[in-house]
Amino acid sequence: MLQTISENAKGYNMLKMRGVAKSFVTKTVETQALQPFDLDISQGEFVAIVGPSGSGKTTFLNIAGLLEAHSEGQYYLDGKDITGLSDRSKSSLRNQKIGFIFQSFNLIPELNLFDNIEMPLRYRTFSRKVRAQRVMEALEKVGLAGRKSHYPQQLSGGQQQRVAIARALAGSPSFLLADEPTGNLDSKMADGIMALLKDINQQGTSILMVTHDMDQARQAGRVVEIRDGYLTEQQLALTA
Amino acid sequence: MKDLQPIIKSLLRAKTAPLLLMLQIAVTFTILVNAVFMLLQKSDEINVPSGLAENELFWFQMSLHGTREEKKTSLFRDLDAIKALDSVSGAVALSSIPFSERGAGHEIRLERDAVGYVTKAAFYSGSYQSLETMGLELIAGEGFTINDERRLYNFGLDVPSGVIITKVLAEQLYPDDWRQVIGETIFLDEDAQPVRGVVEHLIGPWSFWKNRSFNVLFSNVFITPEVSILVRIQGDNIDKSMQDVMDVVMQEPRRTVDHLEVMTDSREKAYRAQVAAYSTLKAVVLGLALITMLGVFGQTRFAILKRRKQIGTRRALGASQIAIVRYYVIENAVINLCGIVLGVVLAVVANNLLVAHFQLEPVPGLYLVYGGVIIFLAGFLAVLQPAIRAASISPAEATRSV
Repeated sequence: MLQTISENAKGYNMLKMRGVAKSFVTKTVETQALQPFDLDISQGEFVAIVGPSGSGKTTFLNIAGLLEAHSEGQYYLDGKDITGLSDRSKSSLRNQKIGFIFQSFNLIPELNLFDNIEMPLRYRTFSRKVRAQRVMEALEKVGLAGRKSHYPQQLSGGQQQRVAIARALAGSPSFLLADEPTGNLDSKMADGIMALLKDINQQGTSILMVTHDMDQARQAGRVVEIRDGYLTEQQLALTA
Repeated sequence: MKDLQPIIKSLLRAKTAPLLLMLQIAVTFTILVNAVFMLLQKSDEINVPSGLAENELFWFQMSLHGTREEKKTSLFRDLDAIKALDSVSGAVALSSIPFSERGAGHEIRLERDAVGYVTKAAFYSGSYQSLETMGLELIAGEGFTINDERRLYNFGLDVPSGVIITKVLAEQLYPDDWRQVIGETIFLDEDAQPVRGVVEHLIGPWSFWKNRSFNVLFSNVFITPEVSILVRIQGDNIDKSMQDVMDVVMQEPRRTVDHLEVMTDSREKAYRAQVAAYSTLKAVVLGLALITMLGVFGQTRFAILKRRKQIGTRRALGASQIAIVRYYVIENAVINLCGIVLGVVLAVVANNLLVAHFQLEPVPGLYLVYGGVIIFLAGFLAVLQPAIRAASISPAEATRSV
């Protein structure tokens, strides 16, 4: 059964998936992690992906973020068919089109904030000056410009996630992919991060956020639920 | 080289693991360079050129009986009979035999009244054909002729009939130009002898002696109740030659023969202990090198693969597989180079201590260069496999929660 979730599509399609599915095959068993689905996400959208543990959220996120290959269907990222691309091309696409925000921040402890944010920029052909400029702009956006020489462990969890967001923004990606961005934070810090993400979205960056928190999901414009490998569009209450 | 700066920064930030690896590389370097140098020196010692036609020589000791004159007659009669054999190309009586561990030696001076001596050297005295029979190569001056040969009941050094010495002894006596020694008088203890010739090599009787290549050859057959005879064979059947010679010498009724031995066996016996020590040292060095190299391999591997999450994150953020390999290879090269530099310092210090306490020779600088190159290549090999494995870590590792 093919599910089609595209009714909310507006404007330019940043992400277009057609019949995408994921199965894991071992010697004896084939597990269908994600059932075939269609999905469109437009520029400027803020989409929350919700669902219980083990439902396939992370698998979906990995496919959307080119971290894992899908087994069936077509996936167009910013108009480009990524099916069958080489590892090198996918790495380059991840680097230029996607900004990743991880649940446990994934900052490199040995590098200071500036160097952490600069790291993905080093995989591109930017000059040192351009890199420095982008890093500082990103740090300013998340309000940590004054702490560029600090190390991750000198910051609170919320601040570390802000650095990770700055790292994701510095490369001017087509969209942000956030994997439970507030999962490791207390509610006050989580609110701050959500406010920052909404702010970034309002400035035009699309965001795809995996979360298990329905309150946060409702703050996104659109909610897609994954349950047992099936994707369904959730109708949001008007009060959101 | 965009990676170099962040690599150095992260190494300086998290120092312990790289520092340990660096130390291990430095210690490996120090041990290897010093031990390999010692091994090669030992190998030179064992394979020291003898100057002899070793494969064509055998020797024995035989008894002479009767009065002095009877002894002399019987010796020269037998020598002539041996030389007449088809299976023999030469035979000489010699006061001592190379590698036999028995012989005599002198203090060598350039002036009779000099305080101390220049060096000590072993002494061979024998038939005028000794040089040819032993297979020595005369490189300056002249050898002995039949007119030089004397047949005495003592060493006969009081008559200055001339000696032939080895080149290394000549170099010791005249370091600026060893050829100056020709025609000069040297003193063997008190006895003056002009140097008439120089041979390229001649090994002494004592393999373990540091002056084993300093030797003096003299033309006088010293007749004693037991004489040593050195025989050079004709053809390639040394067993037949030995049998033929024994048939000749055993015709004398009271004759006893001792130590019938081919020269290659004498050499082998003389160096047996040193060869055993050499082989043991080699095994120990190889084992040690292997263990320390495995340690370096293990540490390198651990240092890389413990960062799975970080590698996954780098991959997710856009690092290609090549970029991952490059990062860890450069990181390893930085640690490796620092380890080698520290190793050079340690090796020099350790070597100075060895030189000071055990009178060893200092390690030549070239060994440090070779050692550095070898350790660097080994380090490169060590990092290659874990770096390639690191590159195959999935970028999905970044989103894994455990």
